[in-house]
Order: sequence, then structure tokens, then C-alpha cells
Amino acid sequence: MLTNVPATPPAAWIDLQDEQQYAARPEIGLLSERLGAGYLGWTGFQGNLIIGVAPGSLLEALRLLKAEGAYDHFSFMTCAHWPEHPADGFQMVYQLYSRSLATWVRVQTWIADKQPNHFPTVCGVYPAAEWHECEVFDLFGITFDKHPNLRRLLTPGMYDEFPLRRDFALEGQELREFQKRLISQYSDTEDSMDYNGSLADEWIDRHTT
Amino acid sequence: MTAQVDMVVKRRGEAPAPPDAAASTAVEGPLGVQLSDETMVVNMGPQHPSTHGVLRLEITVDGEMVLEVIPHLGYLHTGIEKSAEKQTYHKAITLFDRMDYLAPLSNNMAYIGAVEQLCGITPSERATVARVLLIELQRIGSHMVWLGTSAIDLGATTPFLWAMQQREQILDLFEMASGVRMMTSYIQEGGLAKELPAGFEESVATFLKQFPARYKELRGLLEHNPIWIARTKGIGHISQQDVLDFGLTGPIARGSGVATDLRKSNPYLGYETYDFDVPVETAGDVYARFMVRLNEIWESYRIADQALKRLATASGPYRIEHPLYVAPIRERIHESMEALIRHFKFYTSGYAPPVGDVYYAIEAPKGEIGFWLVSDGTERPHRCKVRPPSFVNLKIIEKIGPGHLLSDLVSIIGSLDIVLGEIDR
Repeated sequence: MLTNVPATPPAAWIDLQDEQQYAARPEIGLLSERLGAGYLGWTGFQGNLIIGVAPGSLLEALRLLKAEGAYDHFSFMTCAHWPEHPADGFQMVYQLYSRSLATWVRVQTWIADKQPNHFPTVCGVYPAAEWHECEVFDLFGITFDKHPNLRRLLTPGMYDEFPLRRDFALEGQELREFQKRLISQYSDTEDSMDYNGSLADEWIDRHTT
Repeated sequence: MTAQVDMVVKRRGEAPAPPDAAASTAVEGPLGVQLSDETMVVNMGPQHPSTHGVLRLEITVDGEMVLEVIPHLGYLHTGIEKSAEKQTYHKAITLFDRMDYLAPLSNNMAYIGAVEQLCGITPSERATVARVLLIELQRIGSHMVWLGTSAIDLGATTPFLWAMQQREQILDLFEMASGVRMMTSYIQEGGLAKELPAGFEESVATFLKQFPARYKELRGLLEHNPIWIARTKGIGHISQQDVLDFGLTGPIARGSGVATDLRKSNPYLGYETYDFDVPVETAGDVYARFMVRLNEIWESYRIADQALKRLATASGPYRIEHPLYVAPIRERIHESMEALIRHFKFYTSGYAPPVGDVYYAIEAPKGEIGFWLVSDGTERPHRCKVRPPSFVNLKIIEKIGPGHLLSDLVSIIGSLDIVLGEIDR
């Protein structure tokens, strides 16, 4: 079974329990034949087929699945953050659906968690990915190269935190320091809410202790 | 003043246009549209009654003609996905009720479906049938709000009142079952939150009995209404290629001739055993989407009718027993020490599903809603991604909005049936 926190992506992930059910899926044969070393293996979990590819082979994998695998529906893309393993800290997933086969497949790759994070956009293959990538940029801070219109969708444009990263604080002393940083950041701009230092401290004390 | 303008530009993430005295009448706009003295940029929303929430559209118009539409989201962003990471799997249920507040039970079902898939548990037959009944009633309710509000946006007041009257009866049924009108959190791990009350089936039967006549009246108000047809036919055309390019789902895809419905293609909750059709239109305009939803209301009525008949004979408890992943039935606490311990453990520390990630999607009133849940073996989800149908469907407005009159944009927004709570999350 796939553990979600591999130190390095394993060569092959096989869930022996359901091997029969998944091994016959044509996507596995297609990608393993055509991608060569870029194909890392597959896993099956509770009816989900997950295919792992190397970051450099992702675009080719999606192109193959769209053109030859009949995967015409791009459901969503997103990522999960694993800060304990910076070498492959972002698990990027691309969920595809085939209307003719009525099957799902999830293509997955791991990239390093370093600042700044760069990753190629898949808008050229699946234009539907545009807003999903904006959302990942907005909430995780991954910049998608050659994206047609990368902007912050959900948070304000001047905001410079990435809330869905696991190290974004929601409680405790971390939150206190985070809010202090936030207030000082907004106080420097012209349309700040005119917090002065003592008021800000008072506000923080009231809300965090 | 200059500072303010700079700030606006900075927020949109673009470089300010260089001042050029010679070419002051022609400026390059954001997407290459030539701004001249004839065009202007107007804000539609976030406080606008026909944007169905707090959606802001930045519109470039030449007189009444729309040249460009840029949606700005995020006014309702509350970090639901982040909050879910800090909750146990059970406590996160209530968060997702608040996403698509017109169809909370569909959100519930999608989330609980993902959790049940992760844990590998299956509810009883009775709970499954009850879930089908509830989410089909929910689909009728959601479509009723869409019908009423999109009609009132175009000036037809009566459908709104009649549709809301029907929806109110559905909410009364939910209140009877769960105690809450909207944010029910009624579908839970392994079945339902509590037993359906005595008299519930009779109340549903009463509602379904009066429904066909009311539906016919409601349909008759708009279906052949010349004003309605003039405002909707040929407006907001979405081609089949657009559906594929933009990843559209739900009634919008089916209004453009893409017959896709997860209830038929990847059945869950035993939908393959129900007799119903998937309405499809090929025109792709606002009227086609109107007809698809109108016909879907009738198909939901048919499914609800069948589910109600099955409910009388369906066997099994309303919630299964499971040592880890399901809360023990309340009455068992008084007689079993084990049940008391499990009850306490379930509601305090929660339960830890096996390590893995699943994606579970259902056909909600607005399209494919799905949850990607990543379990790292603790009691809290490591990542909980929602695939909201409205978020994906809204983007098409950038493509189909331009070229219409400003008043037709209202008609298009209505036909997309968006809920901002779900888009911003």
C-alpha cells in the first residue's frame, strides 16, 4: 500500500489486495510503455487508481492520457504539503475522468518544497486547469510557469501568506507572531487600518490568549 | 489619488499602464481590449442582487455591450479546507454544510462518501435508500431556488414565490428529520445522524402527492412565455468543445449536448436500480439549461417517489455498528459500557482511517462535487480538497459573457446557477 510520506518516491506501488482489479487497466500499460523512466508505478486504494510519474514526465503523461486514453474530463488538480520531507514536499495530483470509459485516474507527482517553488502549467493540455492552478498558487505558493493568467483568486492581491501550507499557524504562539507580522505589513501601506502599536498588541492579547 | 490608482493596479497584479499623452484615447486593457473614450469599466457586485452572492464582475462595456468580463472571487473565503485539517473527520462534517448552502445534504453525502470509502465501511440498505430520498428532495429544493431567483432576476416575480413555497415544504421535511432546516449534517458515517421520525414517510408522501400539479403550474409560467423565451433563447451559448475545455459538469454540460451524469455512469447509493432519465438539450443556450433543470426536477421527483416506496420495506438499522468509524447508537450508551467508551472516544479524539487518499464524487444539483481526502493515519485529514462544481462552472462566463448586452449577463449568471459559498469556500 502507498504510504503518503515516502522519503523518495518508490519505484513501484502495488496494493496486493486488489491487484487483479487494477492491473488490467489500460492506462497503466499506456504510461509504462510510453514514458520509460518517467513512469514510477501505480497503486490502487479503495477503487482509486493512482499513477505516479516523474515531475518531468507529467505533461507527457497527461497528453497521452488525453489523446490516447480518452480522458476528456479534467476534474481538478491540487496538491498536498508534506513539510517534514522537503525533498518531495509537494504531492501534486491531477484527477482525470473518461466519459467514454466511465473511469477515473489520478496522476501524481512529487516536487521539492523550496522557495520559490516553480512547476510547469498543464493549461496547454487541459485548459480547465487554469483556475485550479491559480488556487494552488494562491494557497500553497507554487508558481506555475507559462500560466496564461496567474493571480490570487481567493485571498486579496496584496496578501503574501500561503494559508494551506501545513506550517501556516492557526493557534498558539505561532499565531500571535503571525498576526503581529501581518499587522506590521499592512501598517506600512497607505490604506492601512491605522493600527498603532499598543492597540495592535492589545488586540492580539485579547484574541490569542 | 495616484497612490490609490497604483494600489488598485497592484492588487490586480499588473503593471500600471505608462502615461502617454499622445495616445490618451486608446489604452490597452487587461486582456488586450482597446479601451477608448467609448468604453468604460464597471463593477457588477459584490453587492448586486443578481450575482447570487458576493461575486464581483469587472466588466468592460461599450455602451450596453459587454466587451470583457473578469470574475473576482474570494469575498466569502473562510478557509474551509484549512479548517477541516484542524478538525477530526467527524467534526468537519458541519463545515461542508456551509459550502453550497442551497444543497447541504449533497455536500454531506459527498464528504461522507469519501470518508466511508477511506474507512471501507458500507451503510445499511435502509440508510442508503433514505439518503437517496433526501438528496433527491435536496436537488428539487436547490433547483427551485435557482428557478425562482433566475426568474426574478429577469423580472418574473410569480415563479419565485411559487418555487419558494415548494422549497419551504422540503425544508420542513428536513427539519422534521434532523431538527434543522438547512445545515442539517444529517448524513453521517455509517448511515444517518438519527432515526427518521414517526410520520416522516407520510409527510413526504403528502408533499409528493401535491407536487406534480404545482410543478405543472410552475412550468407553465415560463416554458412558453414569449418574454422569457426572448430573454433566454440564443443567449450565452456554450459549445460542446467549451464543455470539454472548461471541465464543465452538471446541467450546464447537459444543456450543451454532453450527456454526462455520475448517477448513470458511475452509480453510487444504488442509483442503477432506480428508473430515471438524464435530460439532455443540445442548444447550449440559457433556455436549454433552463429546460434541463426543469426536466431534472421531474426526474428527481420520480426517484424520490421510488425511494419512498422502498423505504417502507428497506431493512437494516439507520446507522451500522462499527467498533471504530461509526458513532454508537445513542440508546446503546445506557446499557453498554463498551458503547459508552466508544461514544466518548468517537466525539473527543475521533478515529484514524487507514493511510491513503481517495477521491469520491457525486452528481450534486450543480454538477460534480467531489472530495479528495488524504489520510496520514491520524485522526485529522492531512488534506481535504473540495472540487466545487460552481467554481469550475463560473469560469465559462469569461468566454460567453462578451458580446452580450449587460442585461443578458444577468440572464447568463442565473443560468450558471452558482453559489458563492461553494466557490470561495
